[in-house]
Amino acid sequence: MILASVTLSSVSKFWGSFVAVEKISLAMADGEFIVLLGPSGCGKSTTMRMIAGLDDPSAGEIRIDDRVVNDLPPGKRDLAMVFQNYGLYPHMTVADNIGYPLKVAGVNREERERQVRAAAERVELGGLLERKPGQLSGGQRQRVALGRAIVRTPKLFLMDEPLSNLDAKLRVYMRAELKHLQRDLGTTTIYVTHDQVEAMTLADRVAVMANGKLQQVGTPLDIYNTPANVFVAGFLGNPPMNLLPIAIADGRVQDSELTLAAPAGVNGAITVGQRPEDMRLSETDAGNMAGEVYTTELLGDSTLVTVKVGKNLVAVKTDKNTKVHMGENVGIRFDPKHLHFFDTTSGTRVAFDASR
Amino acid sequence: MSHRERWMAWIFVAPALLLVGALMYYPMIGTIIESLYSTSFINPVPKFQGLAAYYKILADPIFGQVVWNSLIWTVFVVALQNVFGLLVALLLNQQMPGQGLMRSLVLLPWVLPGVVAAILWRFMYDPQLGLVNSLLISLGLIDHGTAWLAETSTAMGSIIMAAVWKGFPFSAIVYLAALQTVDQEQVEAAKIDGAGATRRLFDVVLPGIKDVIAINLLLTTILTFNYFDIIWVMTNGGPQNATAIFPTQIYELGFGQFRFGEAAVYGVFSILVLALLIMVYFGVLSRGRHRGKAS
Ligand SMILES: Nc1ncnc2c1ncn2[C@@H]1O[C@H](COP(=O)(O)OP(=O)(O)OP(=O)(O)O)[C@@H](O)[C@H]1O
Ligand SMILES: [Mg+2]
Repeated sequence: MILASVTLSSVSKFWGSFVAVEKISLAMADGEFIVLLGPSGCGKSTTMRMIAGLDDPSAGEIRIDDRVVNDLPPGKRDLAMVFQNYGLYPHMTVADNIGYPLKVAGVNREERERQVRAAAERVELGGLLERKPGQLSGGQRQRVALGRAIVRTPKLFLMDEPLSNLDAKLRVYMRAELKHLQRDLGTTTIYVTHDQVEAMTLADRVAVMANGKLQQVGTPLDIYNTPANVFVAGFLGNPPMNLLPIAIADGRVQDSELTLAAPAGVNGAITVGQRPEDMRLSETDAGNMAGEVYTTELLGDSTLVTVKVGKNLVAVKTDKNTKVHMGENVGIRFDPKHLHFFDTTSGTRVAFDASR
Repeated sequence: MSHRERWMAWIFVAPALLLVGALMYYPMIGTIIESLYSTSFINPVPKFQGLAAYYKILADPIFGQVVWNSLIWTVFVVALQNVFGLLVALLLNQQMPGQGLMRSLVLLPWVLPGVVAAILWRFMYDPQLGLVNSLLISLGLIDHGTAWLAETSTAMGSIIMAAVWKGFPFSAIVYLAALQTVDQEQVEAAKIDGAGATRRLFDVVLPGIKDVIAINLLLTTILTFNYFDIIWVMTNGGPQNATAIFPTQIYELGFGQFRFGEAAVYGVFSILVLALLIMVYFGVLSRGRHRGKAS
């Protein structure tokens, strides 16, 4: 199988004085499915476009396998890209769209037709080869774009929010299809999205970005369980992690609303975090803190209770049969095994000795 | 629409229809009637003569020459204007410093009044003082000045050059606007698929603007077929009718020789050609609109 590893070394992109991507270093292994995840405008597309060769990096080095590709045009990098709006050629039939990379490469007609048919079958487009893109549904167009990407078995797939134009149901379906296809072909894939569910479900590893900087790289579980900083903690999870700024001095929390044994070595301005699903409601005096119920939302499999504690809103995921009412006073108990501490000034995770 | 509404509709469009009728169809029909009468300077009272003027003109070798000239003139001016306009548009569409300035400079020939441009070019073609001759002599291509506009063999080519220079900015701006609507994702997809610049131009960019190309070809054809000022100022249709096309011939016959009936016959023929072109124009327009809806 032909696979590629991709290495970014200190890659930056400036638009004038604006820094769109700042010193990103990232190594992607052969056959890996990497998802670039981050909020809108954080530089995900720019990073991907530099890997594709559509934008030139302002600084740094991009390698595919062991070759520096900074000066290689996109067509020579042996990669395929699926665009957000698919980038199909509207005046060509589905077959011609899928076969275009082969035509450019000079593959003869018979061979081309054979490969186009095989690719079309793979993405379940068999009966639509003679249609024009304008006569297809969104999901079918998406498949044509996929077909065009796989037809010449490139070393690397790049996908920039390929599912964002589909309706919710089709998106879930295509997500599964895509994952299956990638595992099946084993092609190294870089996938851009701002949707954390897509990132969690598809990725071998997720690279979280914010403001042009890489925040954390790890398996979906890694970044979910041990977020490297406040941004990642607050970005992932639905609803995201509860984050409460506190002050710790002499091993004691200096906050009247929160009673918590501070772990050894954690001091100063600290942000304590815990995911809603790790918290429990309790009697007012039996928890780590107490407050007034702000709202309750039934999510189906659970109930989300939002509690106002001092100035902060704290979300607690509880059993779906929980009956509490707005304005009621409740306590909240932390799960000591799933606490996160971050330095409030720098935002980075603070390691601590959990054995105490 | 109900009966009443239809009435209202007619009332609302009536002023526009009357205006168009008075300004366009009255002179057109007037021309056709005129062509059936003999009117001249010595004989100012129109006398009905049926198709006599038509027979006379069709038998005259000058008519064949005017048709041929019009064809050569229109085909070359349109083709060169469009090709050149497209090339300039492709150039202006690139990211480059001083782009804004270039775009306005390119427009200059087009905003110049036709008569001014014609006089400018007459100077350039001047056998003694002209830039064209001195340039060609200094390049060693010719050894003495040629009277470009006075030779039957070079006059047509010379005015075609002038008209292309005058008219290409129009096509360039139209094509530039069209190029800016080309979907960049498609262009980038083609880049990734390995297509070089030329391939992308023919496979993605030109198909993306083909409706605009068709419309612009037709528009410039109509405008070119109707061209008058540059030719009239530069050559008067001469030498020996070498640059006479329909509009100059109509003017020459009507106001130069006061042969209004014969001028009107030329007018009728040119109305027929233009009507045909306009029908094609609307055909293309509505086809484009259909396609727009389908996708
Ligand atoms: N051609 C450009 N000129 C100037 N600034 C640009 C250009 N392209 C992108 N940017 C800026 O760079 C930043 C990163 O853009 P990018 O498209 O990579 O974001 P993104 O993470 O893909 O966001 P989204 O999820 O909205 O697609 C943005 O702030 C954007 O405004
Ligand atoms: Mg983007």
